[in-house]
Amino acid sequence: MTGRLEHPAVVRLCHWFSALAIAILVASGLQIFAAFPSFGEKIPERDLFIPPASITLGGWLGAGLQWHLTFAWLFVVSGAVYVLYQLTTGNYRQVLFVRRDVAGVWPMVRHYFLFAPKPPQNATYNALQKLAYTTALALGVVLIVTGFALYKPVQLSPLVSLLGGFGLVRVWHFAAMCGLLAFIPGHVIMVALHGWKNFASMWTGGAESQRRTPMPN
Amino acid sequence: MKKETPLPDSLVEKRLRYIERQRELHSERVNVVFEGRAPQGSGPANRHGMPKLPTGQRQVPNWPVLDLGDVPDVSLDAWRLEVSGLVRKPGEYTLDDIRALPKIVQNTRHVCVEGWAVIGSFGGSRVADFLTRVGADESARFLELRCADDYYESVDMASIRHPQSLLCYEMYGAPLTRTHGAPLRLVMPTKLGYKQAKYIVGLRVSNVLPAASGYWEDQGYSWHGGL
Repeated sequence: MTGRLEHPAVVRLCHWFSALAIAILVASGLQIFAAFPSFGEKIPERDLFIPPASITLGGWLGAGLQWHLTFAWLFVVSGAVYVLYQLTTGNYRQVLFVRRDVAGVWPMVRHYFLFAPKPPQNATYNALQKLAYTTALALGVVLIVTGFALYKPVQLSPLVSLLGGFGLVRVWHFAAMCGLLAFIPGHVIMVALHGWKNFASMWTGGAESQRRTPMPN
Repeated sequence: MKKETPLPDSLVEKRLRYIERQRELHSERVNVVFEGRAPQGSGPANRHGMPKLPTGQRQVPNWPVLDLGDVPDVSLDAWRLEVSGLVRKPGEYTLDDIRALPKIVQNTRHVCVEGWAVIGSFGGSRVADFLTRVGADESARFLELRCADDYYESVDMASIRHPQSLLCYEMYGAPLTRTHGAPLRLVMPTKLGYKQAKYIVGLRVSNVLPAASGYWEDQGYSWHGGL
């Protein structure tokens, strides 16, 4: 049996392309938001907050849109390749949060935040990790679906109606971005706590692993 | 214009028989008596005596206005629409020429590239009807628009011939106001707001997109601008 890398090349590529895409999408998305920084009426316009120029990309709405719509495709493609790869290899079982993981969440929260002993692990990723990865992926799907609804609201008008109308789709799109942003600090802190080797493995693929979960190939 | 075809009597009778049957089957649940019930909706009465605004809808009193900064005062008497390019009858057309075409009134959503959207009531003539009137080349690819405030636009023929693409001269049943682009503006619910030029003074049918294809497009907005 040939050993498999901790992080197969496809997963690594998708991870870093998504990371790049997310960085650009957030900055250019805030640039787009700055053109109408409100979820209310246009008149009278009550600005929610005006994103500072230091965290926006493009300089004005037109350029922000071009960055956003270009890198949205990178996000869509790397997301789709990742999901297809995980499905065809069966790898998704490592990270997909399922019903039997529910019981494992609270012990992990106690371990991370309340200094309780670490619960015994019998899988590559613990229940809390699976929950975080699955939620992040679901938020990515929400971002893509609401993004398309905002991009083509006439052609996708049934979808827009289903989501509560054009104004609300902007809210869902923005809220999903906030959710995804909330995932990143936790993710980065955990990687930092696990040291350089753990971080490097996302570039090199890491050691050939003896998998605890049976793989089909 | 299409005339409304009345439903055949048999359909109405069929429906009434169906209601009667349902009533017998579920007398306690089916309530199809409308007499004595207040009509839903709000606002002044329409021509049927019913509230003009459907349930859950409201009139928009605060229509946003975006323009280049100067609002041209176009004299209605002096205004002419100059038609040129691949048309059999080029020349100057008056507002009455446009009003003479079948009038369309539609409540459609206007989506701004900034991210806001608002539904409005627009009246005018179909661009497609006007293009037929001036004998535009059926196979031409683009329509270029020139405006009194030096704004300019161009749109692909398929979109401009869409039945909801209007040469609009009315809003909410009243003549278009100056801030909304009087005397004539484009209304095109399949495109973003910046494609829907106001203060139109010239139309040109062509096969080659000009280097200056649109005021905002030349600065980076999408030329397609489709929704």
